[in-house]
Amino acid sequence: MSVHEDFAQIAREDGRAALVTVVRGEHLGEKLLVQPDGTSEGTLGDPELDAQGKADADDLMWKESSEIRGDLFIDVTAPDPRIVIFGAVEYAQHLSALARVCGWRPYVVDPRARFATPERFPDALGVVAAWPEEAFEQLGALDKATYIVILTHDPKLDDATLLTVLAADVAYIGAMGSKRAQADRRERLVAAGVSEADQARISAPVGLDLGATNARETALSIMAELAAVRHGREGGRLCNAKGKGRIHAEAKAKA
Amino acid sequence: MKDVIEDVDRWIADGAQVAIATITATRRSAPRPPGAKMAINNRGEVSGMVSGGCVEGAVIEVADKVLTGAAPQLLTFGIADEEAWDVGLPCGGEIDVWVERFQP
Repeated sequence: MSVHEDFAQIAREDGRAALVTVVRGEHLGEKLLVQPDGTSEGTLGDPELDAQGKADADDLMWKESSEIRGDLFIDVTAPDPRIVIFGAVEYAQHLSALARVCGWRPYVVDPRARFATPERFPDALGVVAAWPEEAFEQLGALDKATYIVILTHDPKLDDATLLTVLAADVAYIGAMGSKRAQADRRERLVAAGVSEADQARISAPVGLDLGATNARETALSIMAELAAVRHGREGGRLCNAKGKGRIHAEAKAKA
Repeated sequence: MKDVIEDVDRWIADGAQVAIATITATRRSAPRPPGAKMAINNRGEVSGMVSGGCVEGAVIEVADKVLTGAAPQLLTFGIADEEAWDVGLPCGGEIDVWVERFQP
């Protein structure tokens, strides 16, 4: 089987990988397949080029963007992004519905089994009635393409979730709560030994500033923030953006 | 890869030869991002798109050559704004497309 076919197989299985191809110069058409665990297959025909290709692949497969770098094209296949929502509350219902509409994969976690039922969350791909650590045993490990949204309104549960997810390298951690709740949370986390740098990784309060007045709009503001974070944007109005009227992103690479 | 894989699998199961065209870069605004694909087989069938329709014809010509033994190729298409409007690419822009044979 070819490296090309192995890449296709990973795409079929909704897995993650990068296929590096030489598209200019010597070794035209040579391929290197790189997987998330760092293993690779094939060669670009030159050890230096292979090392370069591996480094680019490792970077881009988590950014989930295909890009040309120098003479190498790095083609990325990745599963749809995963949102794990803690707190089986009403916001979580609307957020899972919006996530599905946007092509994301929502999961809901809450140890309060009475709330965490599949019937209450028809749009979630999984509902887990468990504490955070146990939940991730069921949902698969936290990774750089996992987005965490904490909506529990329960300090004990919020803190347990934050301590678990801060120990991992995830794409995003957002937590809902009033100014007062944020301040209280900060104090508790400091007491639990969480560093300033880790505190700064928490987006709180969650969401973009839409002035949301109901649970659906709040869910929309959270979903909008997640999309912006994923694409490396701040989330302002396009009509106010620099390079006015430009809607599609430009390729970052200089071709 | 996911955008064309179903058709590619079907064609290959059917014994066809397949070329794949992939957008490698876009400049200014373009309708599809790097990584977007179009697949072409040696029976003239096509799956997916790399633009709104104006460069597909040229891509198919190169794909036919690749399928009859030519080396893979990196193509550049500039899309003039007026021209783009006529053929349904209102964003204008410029795209690079890599065309190669799919090796099953």
